[in-house]
Amino acid sequence: MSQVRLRPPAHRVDRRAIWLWTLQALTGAITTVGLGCVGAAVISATRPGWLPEWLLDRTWLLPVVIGVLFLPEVTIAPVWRYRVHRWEVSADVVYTRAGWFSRTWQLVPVARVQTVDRTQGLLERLFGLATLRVTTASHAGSSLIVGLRDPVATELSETLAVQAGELRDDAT
Amino acid sequence: MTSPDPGPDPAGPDRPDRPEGRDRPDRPDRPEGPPSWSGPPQPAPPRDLYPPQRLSTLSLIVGPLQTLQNLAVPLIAVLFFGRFSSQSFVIAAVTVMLTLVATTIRWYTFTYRISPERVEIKQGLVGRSTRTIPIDRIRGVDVTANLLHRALGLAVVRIEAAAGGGAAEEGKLDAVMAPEAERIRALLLRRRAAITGTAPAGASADAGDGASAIDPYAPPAPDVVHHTTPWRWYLYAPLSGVYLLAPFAALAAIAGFIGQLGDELGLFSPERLRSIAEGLETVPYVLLAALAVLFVLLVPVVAVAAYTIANWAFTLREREGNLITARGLLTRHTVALERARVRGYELTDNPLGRVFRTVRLGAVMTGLGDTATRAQLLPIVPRRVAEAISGRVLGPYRGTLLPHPTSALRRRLVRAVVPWAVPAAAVLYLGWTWAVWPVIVLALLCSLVAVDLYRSLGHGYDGARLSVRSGSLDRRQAVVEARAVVGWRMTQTLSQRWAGLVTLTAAVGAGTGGYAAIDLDSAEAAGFAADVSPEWIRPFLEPDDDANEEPPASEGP
Repeated sequence: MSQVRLRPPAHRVDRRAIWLWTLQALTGAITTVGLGCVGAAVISATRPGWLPEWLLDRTWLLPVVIGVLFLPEVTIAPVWRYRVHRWEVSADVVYTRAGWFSRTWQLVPVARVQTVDRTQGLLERLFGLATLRVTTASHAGSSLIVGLRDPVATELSETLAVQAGELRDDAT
Repeated sequence: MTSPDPGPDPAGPDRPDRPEGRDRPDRPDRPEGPPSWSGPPQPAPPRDLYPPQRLSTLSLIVGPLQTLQNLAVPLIAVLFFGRFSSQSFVIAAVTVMLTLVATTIRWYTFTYRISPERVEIKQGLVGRSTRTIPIDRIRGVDVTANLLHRALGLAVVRIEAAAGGGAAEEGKLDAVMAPEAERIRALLLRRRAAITGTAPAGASADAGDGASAIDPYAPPAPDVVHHTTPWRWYLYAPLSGVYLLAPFAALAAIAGFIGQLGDELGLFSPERLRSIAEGLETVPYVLLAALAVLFVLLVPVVAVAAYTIANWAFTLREREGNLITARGLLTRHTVALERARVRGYELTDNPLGRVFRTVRLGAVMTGLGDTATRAQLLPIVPRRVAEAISGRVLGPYRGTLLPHPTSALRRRLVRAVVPWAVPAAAVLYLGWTWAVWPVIVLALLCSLVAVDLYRSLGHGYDGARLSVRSGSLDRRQAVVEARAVVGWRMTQTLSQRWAGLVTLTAAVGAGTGGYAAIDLDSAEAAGFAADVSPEWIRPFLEPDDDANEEPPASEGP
């Protein structure tokens, strides 16, 4: 077996994806910290006996700890993700790289593509971005490109759908 | 009284309107033959391979008996609670009568029909439902027969199909005469092969395009018997974890049944329980210990018995492009797997099985989802037998399995030992020095498993099939055809990156959906994928080896 490695895919996603990921992480963080505040209020009101006294006097620690845990997700992750996320569509393969400290490389041959979906959530619409999802007969063979500029995603989904129809090879 | 058949879900492209059937509640009163087809008149199909017909009249005997079997406990409870008064007898009699009437109505209104393109099952008295299963969507046709069915010469036909959304749809004919069941199965499988164009070479002569080419009453082609399990191999039962647990499950079931019965009949009043407990205290400990030892000795015996009943006369046959397994002493399960859908196979074993060199063989099938038990091809058999049969029937794997780097072993050892530091520290903090030893022993046992986990890691490719292996207590080696790969996924966590490892998954539209080579050398992974599917991977390989920095990326195309 030869010692070769994959080169990264050619294209980065759109820079606005950083803000999209920041906003998404922030939404999650604010929701969870809010839930933590509610939990802290409940704990300080009921004072359950199985918790040590010093903790009951400092229930504000709960939302603070949650907030600190979310900090890297909100601050570092979006930029890191932007550096990792890349994509490339060659004549017969969709090649993507995603993740931040854990990474995933995915190669999906266009000939085995079953569906191509372009989706746009509320936040994505705000930034003019879209997500492209390419699925095959296997869940492990499905690819997701987040943070494409909407026109790019639309064009890609159309060309991919046409290509998939032409190359379709029913081995599975 | 709920009927046990699948709900009235009139799925299908050409179902007749449902309210139509509801408008004619008086229809079953007509004395004429099979019920007329409700709904608007459909264009007449070319010719039915099987005209509309009812289930076997003998199912009129089985149906009520099976329903009453489910009602047995409540009925007995009613008789007991009513202290066998006339009132309780009336309730029981009415229940039995209603059961008889309901099953008769169900039998009368249930018809099935096989046209060249689809199977149609109509049922229901008031809310008529039609289930249409296109024949090309059929995934498998199973024939089962429990003891009662076999006594009467009946069998249940289960037609499994994948609906558009992927959810399993099923048609169940419960029950028809056994030869009829065989004929329906052969007919459906042959017809499906003709429609989907997957007819095997041997059977394609009569599976032309027209329906007229298929005669449902033609004698089936002769089978090729690949394997019949000799009785000696039932002794392998204790090598399977599931069957070792069987006696405990049986014990639990008996205890549960007694408890339930006791609750319903009021046997276990607090006083009664107290007297039982006092009675138990007088039993000498020696006797209790002897009983426990006896139970432990009985475990393998019960395991063998349960396994033998489930896998009695296990045969693997091949007929007209289908692999057919049959097993079971009391209930005979016959499962047909279309060969054209097989993409590979999986050899499963555990440490105990490795000592005795035994494995199980399962097929990797498309469209079967995770119904792993259905894809079973062989029970526990010697490894050489499984390898010979899988090689002969499904294609051999001629390559070797390459070991993974030692950093994978280090990862496994760290994961096995480090978690025990917490209980060890806690024990030492509490000053229970004696308890350190059990923790150390447990950590050692986990390290042994870790070493075994590492030893079982492997991957390989022989030019036609790729193979990956992993697991220890449940070790699986998958062999998958290269043409079945629909994509590649490579993942690397932070700790894997530090260790220079990746997990490479071959996405396959069959079996579990993906087969992973875990903790591969990151420098080897791309090469392995490129060996299996060069045309997809080659264009993305690094031009030269030492280029480690990222090339500049463009902002979109």
